[in-house]
Amino acid sequence: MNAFVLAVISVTFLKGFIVKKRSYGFVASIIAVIFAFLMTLVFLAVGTFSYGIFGYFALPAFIWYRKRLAV
Amino acid sequence: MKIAMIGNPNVGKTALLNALTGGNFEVGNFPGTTVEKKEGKAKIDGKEILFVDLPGIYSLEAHSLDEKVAKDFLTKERPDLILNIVNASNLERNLYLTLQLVDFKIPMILVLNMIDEAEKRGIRIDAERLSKILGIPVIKTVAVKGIGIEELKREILRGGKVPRVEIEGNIIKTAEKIAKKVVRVEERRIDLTEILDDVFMDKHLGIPIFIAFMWMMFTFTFTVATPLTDLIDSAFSVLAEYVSSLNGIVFSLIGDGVIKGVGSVLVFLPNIAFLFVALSLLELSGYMPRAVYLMDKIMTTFGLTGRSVIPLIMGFGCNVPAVMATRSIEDDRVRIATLLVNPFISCSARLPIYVLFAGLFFPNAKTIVIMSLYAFGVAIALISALIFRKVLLRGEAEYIIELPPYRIPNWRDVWILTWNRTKHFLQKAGTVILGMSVVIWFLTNFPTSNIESSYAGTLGKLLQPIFAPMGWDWQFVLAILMGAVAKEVVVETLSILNTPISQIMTTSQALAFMVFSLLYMPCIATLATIKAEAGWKWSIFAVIYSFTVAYFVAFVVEVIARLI
Amino acid sequence: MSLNSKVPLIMLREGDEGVVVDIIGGRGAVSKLLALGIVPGKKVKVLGNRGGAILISINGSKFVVGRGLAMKVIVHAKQKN
Ligand SMILES: Nc1nc2c(ncn2[C@@H]2O[C@H](COP(=O)(O)OP(=O)(O)OP(=O)(O)O)[C@@H](O)[C@H]2O)c(=O)[nH]1
Ligand SMILES: [Mg+2]
Repeated sequence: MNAFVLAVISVTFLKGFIVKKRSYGFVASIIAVIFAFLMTLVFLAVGTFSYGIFGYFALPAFIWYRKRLAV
Repeated sequence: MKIAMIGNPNVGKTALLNALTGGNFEVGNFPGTTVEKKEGKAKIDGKEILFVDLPGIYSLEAHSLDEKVAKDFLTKERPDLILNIVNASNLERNLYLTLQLVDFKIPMILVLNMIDEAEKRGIRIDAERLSKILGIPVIKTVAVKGIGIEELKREILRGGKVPRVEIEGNIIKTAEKIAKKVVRVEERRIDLTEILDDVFMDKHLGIPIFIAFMWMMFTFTFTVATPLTDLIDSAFSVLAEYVSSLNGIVFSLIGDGVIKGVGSVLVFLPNIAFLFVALSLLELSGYMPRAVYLMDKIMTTFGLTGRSVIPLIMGFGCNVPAVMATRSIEDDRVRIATLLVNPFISCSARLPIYVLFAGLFFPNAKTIVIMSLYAFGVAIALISALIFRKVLLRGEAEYIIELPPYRIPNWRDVWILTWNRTKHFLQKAGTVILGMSVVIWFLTNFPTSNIESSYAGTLGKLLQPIFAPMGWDWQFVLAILMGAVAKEVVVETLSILNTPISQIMTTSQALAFMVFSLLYMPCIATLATIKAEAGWKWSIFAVIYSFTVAYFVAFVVEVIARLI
Repeated sequence: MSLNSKVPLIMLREGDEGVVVDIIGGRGAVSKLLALGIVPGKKVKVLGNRGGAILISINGSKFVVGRGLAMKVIVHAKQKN
């Protein structure tokens, strides 16, 4: 299921590029960061690792989109 | 002085009640949060004032049960003052109700709430002019930040004014004209809601994102809470062991009965609290009503409407408020169907059962097994809804629901929602579950302390033949019987009986037992709510139907799981 | 514009715009829609229509409208350019 979430995030980013709408990248980066936070909690709680933790790398993307979208 | 708070749904009436009274009433970012009358008291300048918060209404023609509550209050109880709360971003539509309220000839104050959001959207309102046109005081507020509350209190002391408005033609035209005179719209920036909806409501991504959020919610509930659960578990075991090692029947009652029994349920407090945190984020962000749209097609296939989604999601927390939430469904047949299937949505009280059994029998696939049970409950709920709508509650249904903007949940509201619900769980632990621990302890220790020949053993074995097809030992049968009071008691019973679960049960039996516990009967509190919302007939039907379904499905699960 | 551009709201596709011209159906449906600000003369935009309920924006508010009810709102569809 974690892989499913990662897939959803990637596809959302991808769709953003295809339809050339920044909202997709913006939302995808939000979900990625939330997921990364959750996976960090999971890692701390039970020690299970998930690649979702790398979602923090979407943070700069989030800030970039935020600026462009002016929200 | 008795003051009625009237306004469209989701304009912040309850938030304003909290601001005025310092109360802890539950707010939510979707229409239909408050479905019954809520009263809050406050002393303003030494004067006792009773505020009555009512469900939101769009007009005085009531279409649903919650709207009827508000309308009945207005017509039958005649408050001294009406606080008409309106959403400043949407004045024209809100004025439709305001103009209908004029006919009551009751003093009124108009509260322009959510001024912060209106300003962000470039909407300015000339309050003075509006006040002149309507003949009543107009106050601007931001309920969640406490802005304008002092001014409103002063105005309340003055008692409001009976409105005098000239209706030109009909109310709709008049509302439009008034709005034109007092509202000025400056440039509009794109707002967050548009951006988020672009993606959350996307044709292809909407539902996958919804599923991802649900998964994240359950991961948070089950996995992240684990260390806390373990901590409480060991604390209670140590305590129970210590107390029961002391000599004397009282220590046995407290140690082997109360501490062990209540402890076996309280262990799950972290899971339950975490679930409530996640649900409150869902309710306060504004994402939940989006699910109405995303799920409509699926719901319609099963005879419900998208409108049924909100009570169904709330059911994951507790079925009691969820059943009440069905009040805002206008179509009565859809409402009854939604309400009847709600207990199949697995509430937090059933979670201890799954965590216990899945932990013992599927240690490596715990979360997946638990998730499957939740999904299974949803599937049974939907199939049942389809049957009800095809057989008992036929007919087309219409609905419309307004989507609020997304809002960043403030920590106070998250806290209120989480704490109110967690508190309810704790109260249950301190009353029903505690009481049951004494009952069960008594049954297991009398007339002899040999468990096989105790009342518990006798009773369990007496009923066991009923469940012979599933092959469960008598302890499980007794647990089911006791659990009819509240589902947590299932785990409690097994714990007090010292049941060596994994030794006397096969994996297939365990699966069947989890499924049966999920489905077999709404708890007493839910039944009482079903009775209140739909009548005796339906609550009896709910018991018979769910027991039959549970029995049959558990048997099938047993047989299939044994083959695999 | 031709006469047949007056259609039930449900016929509009995602992204289409129109103007509400009439609400047909029982008193219940009519009064409900009026109170919600869905009244003749208002511009409506369809944000989503994919088989289930439809998603519309009107007066700066968004609504999810069940298909049955959306049949009863008659709109003058704007010609797309
Ligand atoms: N930004 C902002 N949000 C507000 C304000 N007042 C309320 N809210 C939010 O609006 C949402 C709805 O508030 P409620 O108080 O539950 O609304 P209600 O009118 O009681 O709604 P119903 O009970 O469904 O009729 C919540 O998410 C509140 O946090 C405000 O002045 N400004
Ligand atoms: Mg409320």
